[in-house]
Formats: sequence, C-alpha cells, structure tokens
Amino acid sequence: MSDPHSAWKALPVAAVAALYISGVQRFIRENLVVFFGAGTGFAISDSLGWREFGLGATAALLVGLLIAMIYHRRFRYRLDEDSVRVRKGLLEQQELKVRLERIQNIGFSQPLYLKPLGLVRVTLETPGAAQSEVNLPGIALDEATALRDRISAGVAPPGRHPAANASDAEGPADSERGPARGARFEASASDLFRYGMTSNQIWILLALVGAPASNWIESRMSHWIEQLRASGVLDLEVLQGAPLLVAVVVGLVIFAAALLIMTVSGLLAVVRFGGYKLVLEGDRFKSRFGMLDAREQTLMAEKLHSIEIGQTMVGRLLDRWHAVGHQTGGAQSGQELREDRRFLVPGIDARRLPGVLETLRNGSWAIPEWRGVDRRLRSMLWGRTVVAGTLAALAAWWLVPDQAPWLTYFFAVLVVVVLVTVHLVWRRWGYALDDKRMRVRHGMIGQTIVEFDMFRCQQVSIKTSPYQRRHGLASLTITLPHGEQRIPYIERGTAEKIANLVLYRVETSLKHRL
Amino acid sequence: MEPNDESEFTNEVIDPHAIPDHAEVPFNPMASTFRRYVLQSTILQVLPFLVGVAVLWLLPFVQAGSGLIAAGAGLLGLASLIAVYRWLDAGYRGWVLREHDLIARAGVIWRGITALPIARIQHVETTHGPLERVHGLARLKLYTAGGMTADLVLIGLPRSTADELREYLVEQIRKRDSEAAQSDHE
Repeated sequence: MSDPHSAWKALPVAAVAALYISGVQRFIRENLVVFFGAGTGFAISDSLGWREFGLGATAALLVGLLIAMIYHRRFRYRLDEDSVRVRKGLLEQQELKVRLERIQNIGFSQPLYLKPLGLVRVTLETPGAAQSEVNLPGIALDEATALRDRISAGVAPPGRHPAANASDAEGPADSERGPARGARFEASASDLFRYGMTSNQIWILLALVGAPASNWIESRMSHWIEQLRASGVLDLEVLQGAPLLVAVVVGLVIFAAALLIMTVSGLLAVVRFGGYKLVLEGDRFKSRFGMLDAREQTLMAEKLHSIEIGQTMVGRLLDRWHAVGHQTGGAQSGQELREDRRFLVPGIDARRLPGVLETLRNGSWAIPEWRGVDRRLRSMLWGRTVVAGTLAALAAWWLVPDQAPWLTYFFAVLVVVVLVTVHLVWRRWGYALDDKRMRVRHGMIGQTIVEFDMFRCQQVSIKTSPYQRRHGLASLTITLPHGEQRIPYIERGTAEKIANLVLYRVETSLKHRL
Repeated sequence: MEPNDESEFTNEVIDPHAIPDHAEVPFNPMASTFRRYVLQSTILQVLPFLVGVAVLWLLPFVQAGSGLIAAGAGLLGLASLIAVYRWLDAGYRGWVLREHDLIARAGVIWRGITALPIARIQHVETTHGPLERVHGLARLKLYTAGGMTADLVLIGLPRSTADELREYLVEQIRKRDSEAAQSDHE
C-alpha cells in the first residue's frame, strides 16, 4: 500500500480559527436558554457591572481558544484505499473509520470567515447515526476537492468511474440520462425570494422566538397606546364604541407583521441559497449555493432512495415547490442538526418541476391516477370532532355558566374550522402506484408528495381498528429508510395487495444493500 | 434513483395472484409461558406504586385516608385492565419466518401485521431480563438501516427459538453481504 494519501494528516494551522468560531457558535446555540437566563440575571443584579461581564466573557473566550487549539492539535485524519479515518478528542481519543462505500453525501461549506483562509468544512454523511459522520472542520479547498473525487470514485459502482471521466461523463451507462453536464436547475433571486416567503421554517422560528418576545412586545404596545392616549391622538372611549374598526386595525397590523416576516424570510432564503444550481455529474448530484456560507453538496444518485416534493399554503399562491432528496438516516434524533444538510432544491415553479423530478429520479415516469382514502376516515374524524365540541360546550355551561354563551360560540366556530380542515386533509390524502414505484400525497391546503421505488422499502405494516375491521378497511404503513409513509383507511384487500407487491419488489431486488 | 441492476434486467409478466400473500400465513404462537410472564411483569410494574400508597396510608401524619384507598383501588383496577389486555394480546401475538421475510402480528383492539424483509435487516440481537429468564423467554430485536431503535421486536419467544432465529438471520445477512460484495467485484 504505497498510497501517497494514506498518512495521518493534521489540519492546517488556520483551521484553529474555523474550529474556534464554529465552537463558539455551537456553544451559544446549544446554551441559548442559559444565556437568556444569565442575561436577565446580569441585568437585574446590582453587584455585577460591565467590568465583571467583560472579564467573564474574556475568560470564557480564552478557555474556548485553548480548547480549539488542543482539539486542533489532537485532530488527525487519513484517507486509505477504501476508508476514511479520523482521530479526535480532547481528553478521550476517539477513532472513527468510515468505509468509502458507506458515504452517501459529501457536503462542503465555506462560511464567510473561512474564505480568506482558503479553507472549507467537509462533512461525510453515512446512513448511520450522526455520531458516525466524519467532519473535517477546515481543510484546503483543493485538498477537499481531491478528497471528494476520490470518495466518489470509490463509491461509484463498478464499471463507472465518475471522477475519472467527470469531463466526459457521457459514457454508455449514462447515455440514457442525456447530457450529464450542465446545470439541471438554477434558481434566480426572485425564485428564492418567493421560496423564502412560502417556507414554513420562518413560522417555526417565530414560534420559538415568539414566546420570549411576546412579553416585550406586549409591554411596548401598551406603553405606546398609553402614550398615544395621553397625547390625545387616541380616544379609547371612541374605540370601545366601534369594535369593527378595532378588528380591522388589528387585522391590518397582523397582516402587516406577517408580510414583514415573510419578506425577511424571503431575504434570508436569497442569502442562504443565493446562486442555487443543481448539477448532475455522472452518478452524482451536486448542488451549489449560498452567499455568505458557500456550500456544495454531493449526493450519490445510487444512495437517493426517495424524493419528496412539497408546496406550502403560501407556496400554492406563489407557485413555489421545493424538492428534497432523501437518503438513509434522515429521521432520527438530532434531526434538527441534519435538517440544513438535507439535499434540498428550493424555489421550483410548476413548469420546471417535472424537469427537476426527472433529473432526481433518473428518468420520466407517467404517474398513474391518484387514488384517495376512504370517506369513512372523514366521517370518523367529523364524528369525533362534533362529539368533542358538544362535550366542551356542555362542560362550559356546567362549569362557567356566565361565560357559557361566548364559549359555546367559540367552540362552534372551532368545530367548523376543524371540520373543514378534516375535509381538506381527507381530500388531499392519496397514493398512486404502478408496478414498481409509488407516490404518497398528504397535506391540507399545501401538499407533500413522497415518491419512492418499492424495492427501497424497509418494512410494511397493516393496522386495523375495530371500526376499520367492521368496514373492511385498514391503514397501511410503509417504512422507508428516512421515515414512514402512512396511507390510512383504504380497503383491506387493497392494503394487502400493495403490501404484498412491495414485499415482492424488495425480496426480488438485486440491490439488497443500502 | 436507480432500479435494479441493468445487467440482470428481466421483465417477466407478473400474475398478481402469484405474489405471495403475507397475511395468509400460518402464524406460530408465542411461548406457552408467555402469558404467565406478562401477568407477572404487570404485577411487578404496578407493585411499587401500590406499596407507595400503602406506606402513605400507614404513616400516622398523612390524613387523606379515603383518598389513598380510592387511589389504590383505581391503580388496582387500571392494572387489572392492562393485565387483561396484555393476556389477550399474548394469545393473539404470532410470528412466522418465510424464506425472504419475517412477519409478526400483535394487538387486540388495534391489530397490526408487520413484515420485515430479511434483505433489509442490518443487525439482530436477543435480550432477556431476569423475569424472562425465569420463564425461559427471550426477545429478538431486528434493526434496519437508518433506525436508532429496533424496527421490529418479537417478545415472548422461547429462548432456544430466539437463539436459533438469531443465528439463522445472521447467517442470511452474512450470505447476502458476501453475495453483494461478489457481484460488486464482477
């Protein structure tokens, strides 16, 4: 083994900076709650001043620097013929060995502060747990590219050497894919802005930040209203006499706030995904994006086991879809951490969606007719909603008689909203399949469609409740490597037929390994 | 996504009636001692709470005597319901090993049949707690790729059966992996 690559290598000295900054970022992110608490304690305490705060912060930063230096000193990696090995650890030495063929996704990330140093962060994802991933916190760009090409060559199935023939990737095996070079999808700033506006993530973020911020906003608002009242601009007596006006004003304020948040979200998406390009190179997909943090993701086509396309409620208005290529091991604990590393294609419009899908699934597929789920799912949920609403209203009459009429109105409206929601969800839920592939769709106003080859499935399960058994129905759950797909309330015979077909496809497949 | 290997591509017509039906197989029942085991384990699980209630009741400075009796009775009632459910469930549970998959069924009110293709099993493990050892039982845990927890757990197997199953499945996984490695080299 006279492999020039196979010696233990240390990270470049400049990588200490990368380790330090990412370490500080992670420390702050993971201890956000503690920081909030400490900040509050600091603010209300009289004995602590800015000097103590500065000393404490400096000490913490110095300790962080020391840790980063020790970590850097002990970090070694090497690339062997068939594996990558990493030795790391502060107190306890840990050695990780990952076989090249297990690597399913190679991620490059170059945040702004790494650019002047000429370093990139490399992540090698495997189907296993997050702990078994190789992270190289900062290596030279050319070395990273060489590493990627070598891994891709090691990963490629026999007969195909994408790294060797990346420039002439149109080998016989790839001929049916058409031109293998060139971007298959490019997202413009306007695509990304609209995608950002439709993304659900901003609302999740808002919910997280909203709770601590709401107190502050409330106190500011009441202070502001008080000021207006004192200055005579606002007459509360008049407002109390015009509830409709108040409702309109409140509605407008909420609408404006939502618009503002969506705009911010749109801008964030432009920064995060700026210059998005999806490229198919031989046997791997590549995506390049990011204005501040330049990223590149390489996903082996062979390791892609299902494609998810989604459209949020707002996305439907703005004609924006996104696609996610799933690999093994997405849905497990620590998913939030991996969330931003999933293979995402953002900001696709309906016209270009089929093209992106064809690229990802490597060929076109005439999608068979959608089949819905049984209407008894809807009647069952409707029944439960009405019963729950009635019980809640009765409880209100019994427990708080003076508030009861109001509460009854409230429950009635709530029941109607839930009934409509149930109807929308029921109408959207469906599946389509041919002999080898399957699609499952669910959602309410927006929708998510997951498409997979049946032979990729991990497990099939059929469940029946007494109600379902009475009506000859069943719920089918198909487990894929990244999570479950559920089709509730279909005919039992159909569920069994699909389950048998899926099992047949898995068991007669030649690709028994993942 | 890539379907099967092109070099071995065939496209024979499939008769839907010829696809084996996984729901129509004769299921093996769990071990004969399994029902006794579930009853005893339910009792053991609820016992600490009952002892806690009894100790509180005996303490001279705790006044809520009738409340404690009600709590104890409620606990006993709940435990009996759980015991009855688990007793019935133990009778309904079953498993079957086919050439290419392992199928398990469970549940009394909500019934489920789960089929796990052997081709997808990554790792097999048998475990047994003290009470299971007393009854000669073991549980077989089957893991597939991507999951952190076991994807299918067969509880209440006779220990010898669990060991045999484990050995058989490990052998199948080994065979499959060496075949796959061979076909990769060809």
